[in-house]
Amino acid sequence: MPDLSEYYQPQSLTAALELLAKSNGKLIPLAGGTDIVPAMGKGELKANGLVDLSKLSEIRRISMDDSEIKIGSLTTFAQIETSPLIQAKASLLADAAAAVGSPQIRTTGTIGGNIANASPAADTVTALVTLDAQARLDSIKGSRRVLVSELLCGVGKTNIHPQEIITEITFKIPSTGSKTGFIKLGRRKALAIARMNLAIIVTLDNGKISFARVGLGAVGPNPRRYPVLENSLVGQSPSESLIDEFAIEAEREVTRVLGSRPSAIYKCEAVKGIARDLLKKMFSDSGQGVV
Amino acid sequence: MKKRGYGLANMWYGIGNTANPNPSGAFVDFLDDGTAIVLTGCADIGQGSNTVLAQIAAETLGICIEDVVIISADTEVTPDAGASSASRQTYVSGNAVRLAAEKVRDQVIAIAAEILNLPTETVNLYQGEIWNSNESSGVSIKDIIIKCRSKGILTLGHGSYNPVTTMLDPETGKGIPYATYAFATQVAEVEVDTETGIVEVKQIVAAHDVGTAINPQNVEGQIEGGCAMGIGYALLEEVILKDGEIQNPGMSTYLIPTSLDVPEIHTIIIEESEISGPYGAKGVGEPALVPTAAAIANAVADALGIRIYDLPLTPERVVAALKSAQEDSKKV
Repeated sequence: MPDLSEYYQPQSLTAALELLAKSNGKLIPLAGGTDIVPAMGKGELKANGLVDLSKLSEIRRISMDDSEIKIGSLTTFAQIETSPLIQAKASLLADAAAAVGSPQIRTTGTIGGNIANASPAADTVTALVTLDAQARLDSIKGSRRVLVSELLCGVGKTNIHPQEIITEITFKIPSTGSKTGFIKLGRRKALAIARMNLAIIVTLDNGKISFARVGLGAVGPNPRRYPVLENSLVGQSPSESLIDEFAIEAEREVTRVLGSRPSAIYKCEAVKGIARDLLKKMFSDSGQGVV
Repeated sequence: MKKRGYGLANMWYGIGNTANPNPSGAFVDFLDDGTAIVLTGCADIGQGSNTVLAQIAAETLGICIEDVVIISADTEVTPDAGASSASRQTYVSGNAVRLAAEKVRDQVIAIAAEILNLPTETVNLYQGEIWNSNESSGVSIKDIIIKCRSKGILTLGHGSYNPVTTMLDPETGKGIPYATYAFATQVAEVEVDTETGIVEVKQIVAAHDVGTAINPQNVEGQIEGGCAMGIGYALLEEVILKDGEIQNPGMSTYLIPTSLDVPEIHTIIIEESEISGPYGAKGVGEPALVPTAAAIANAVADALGIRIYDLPLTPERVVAALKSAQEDSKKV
């Protein structure tokens, strides 16, 4: 069992923020705990105390506002995976949430925790950066909004201040008629950490791709967008040859980013396989992934 | 690119410990309410031996399986039955239970024949009653056991069985290492992605000669479990050592297949009765695992046209093998 001297379970967000403000960085916010608890058990993470956010139902909900989706940071992967709203408006995020761990982990783990943990392989984070999602951070001093991609600054590192909590994630709904998709490459079909993951959004105008977003995870220190890959899609028409060209472009990008790392040999080749699988699915006529 | 392939593997496997005595013992107590208690050291580790041993006792005593209580693997009260290993418990402990139950049955038959004035050779126990040839006498086994008690006779039996083997000649290795063998053939169908290197097992057909299947559903479960384990052996399981230290000592790093990684397994049970087995049974525990990895590796070789000699067939190994084959063909 982790060694803990203090444990709080505030009943309101304000109470939670006050606790963090007073603690001088000694307390760590606890969401689903699926990363923090094992890390404390192994002694990899030391904390004087935890602020358990699980009672803050005010930040555990999904809603839509005009053209924007808002997801409370404590919303679980299972809630996102099964949300009709997310499935209809941003299926890449529903698919990414469904790819996390196992049913038990998805029932407990949260989207805010997935960002704060800053794993290079975080499945929903790849989908969120592809959506240009923003995180809202609250402290007793006020709140700010930051792009998820800018909040992450390395393996296990974020720009979240010790007295702040991620409270909400927002993103613009991709324009009507867009197609979105997510694919994960794991060592097995469940309970696997992503070797790589890929999220894509394309909008078609008169048979040509007018807008594209491409995010890759487990290549660099954090999942991020790859503008070179986005540009390789824009202006093109979906076709077998476009899939081939995109796969080769993806190989080039991953090669450039990974350089001579030991994992490069495998990942450069494998990215082509997942790129092909995902684009083939997205370019098919099935209604899957259509916004 | 996705490539399909098919692979076949055969195996034979000795039942019991190799060229060594490995006896099992059992006690059977036929009670005056017509139920029986079986004491066996056989540990049911999920494979279902308690069920199979109860079936063997019930069959021998002519009673329902519901009327058999198994007390197993309790060193305080049960006789030694050796390890639940070597695919031996159905065969070895099954025989011990059968022999113990036969001793009790013979006592009950002798008393029944005497009381009912019938020749012992034609008396049998069946469906809770005393039968003469093919006809029930209408007298219940329970009544006979009560009569035994009134005469001061307890209906107890013990049995033990040790598979007939010989030591192996230290020079030639010749001898009789096992009393009986299981045989099997498995076929695997795979799809390999030549870029991600992922091997997906699409289906497995597993045909196993288990002797008589005492509990066919149980045998099916054993075969499916063995195939699942074989998929792990073929594709996932690897102990990674660095300077003598295991780098992946937990279930989160030493991966085994999840239910989503296991495809449909079509089991075919071949019942070739084994004369020395209890009601013709042999064993199926380990045989179910033995050919799976070979069948999958053969299927991968069929799909790719190249053969990989190291297990597990991880995505990295598959991709590396494809790349080196490509480079070799360029040289030629």
